[in-house]
Amino acid sequence: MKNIDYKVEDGKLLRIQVDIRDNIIKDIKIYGDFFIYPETAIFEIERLLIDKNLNVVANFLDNFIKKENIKIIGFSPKDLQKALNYNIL
Amino acid sequence: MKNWRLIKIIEDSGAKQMAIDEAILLSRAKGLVPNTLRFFTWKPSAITLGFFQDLNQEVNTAKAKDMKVDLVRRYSGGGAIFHQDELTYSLVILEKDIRKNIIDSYKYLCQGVIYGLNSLGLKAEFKPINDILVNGKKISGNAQTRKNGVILQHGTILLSVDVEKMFSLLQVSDEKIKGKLIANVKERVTSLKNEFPEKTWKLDELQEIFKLGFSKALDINLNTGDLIKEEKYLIQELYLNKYLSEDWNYRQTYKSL
Repeated sequence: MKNIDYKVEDGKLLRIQVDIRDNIIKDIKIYGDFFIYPETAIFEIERLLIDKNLNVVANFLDNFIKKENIKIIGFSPKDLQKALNYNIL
Repeated sequence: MKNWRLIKIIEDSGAKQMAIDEAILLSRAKGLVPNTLRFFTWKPSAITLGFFQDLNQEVNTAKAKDMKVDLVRRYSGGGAIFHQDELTYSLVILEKDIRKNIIDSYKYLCQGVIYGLNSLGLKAEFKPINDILVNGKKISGNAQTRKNGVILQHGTILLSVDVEKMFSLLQVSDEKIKGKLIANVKERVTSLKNEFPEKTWKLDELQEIFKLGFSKALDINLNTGDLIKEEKYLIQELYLNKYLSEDWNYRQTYKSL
């Protein structure tokens, strides 16, 4: 598991523990000082990110929060994808 | 004007305070109690963690144990906070009573603290997402959760800050400090002690000031009351089985507690 700290511009700090192999997320825990409503959605988000390609993270999260009416404050779906790629660059 | 319940200052541990907050939220959702404002203080000093934070990433746990500082994760998101010399409020209100989105509701509910600070002669302002500043420096952090149609918002009012102690307990990442406008925490945080070096505040006096602040800002009547039997029962349950548990505090499990 790698640690990624990524400060979102005008947002919160993402502190991610992630295992990435060949651009595929194998395991992930997303920590940080952000807000998600309802909070328990984080467990579902982490679970569903497993086996996703890094390139589809933003799209997946965007669709998921719209479908489930989840509100995230402090980072956007794009920020999460950037944070995960930030590690690789 | 709506009638709310006011629960006067309760001094207790972090786990107990978090249990009280959630018990009031759940009781409000069941319609057992009215909208409620309460004040509290922390004994012993405590670090609370945002719902989404990792305890080991944020806190020097060995140091906290040494210094007899409690650790507890909050139901609300947001950052890790060291609670020592502060007055804390929490309020529980039905979502339908304010009909605002999350960002706007923070601003609206924080007005209670802002009115209180203004009445002391301080120029306080709301800074999105969830801070209150005096002269550009943070004096209050606030966090909100929503469950079963009820909003719980709690926040701090700093009486004094022990930055050295705070930093010895919290592992603050460089990234975050870099991202802030002012590099040094001593420069970006203030307290009532900093603003009024000569004055010693009595907690009762401050409670009155902020009670008035909230009643004006939210246009409510605050009637002093007590926790009801159902709340007290829930507090015990939540305290023992949730807020004292490692499962909760280390967020190790995926089950929703």
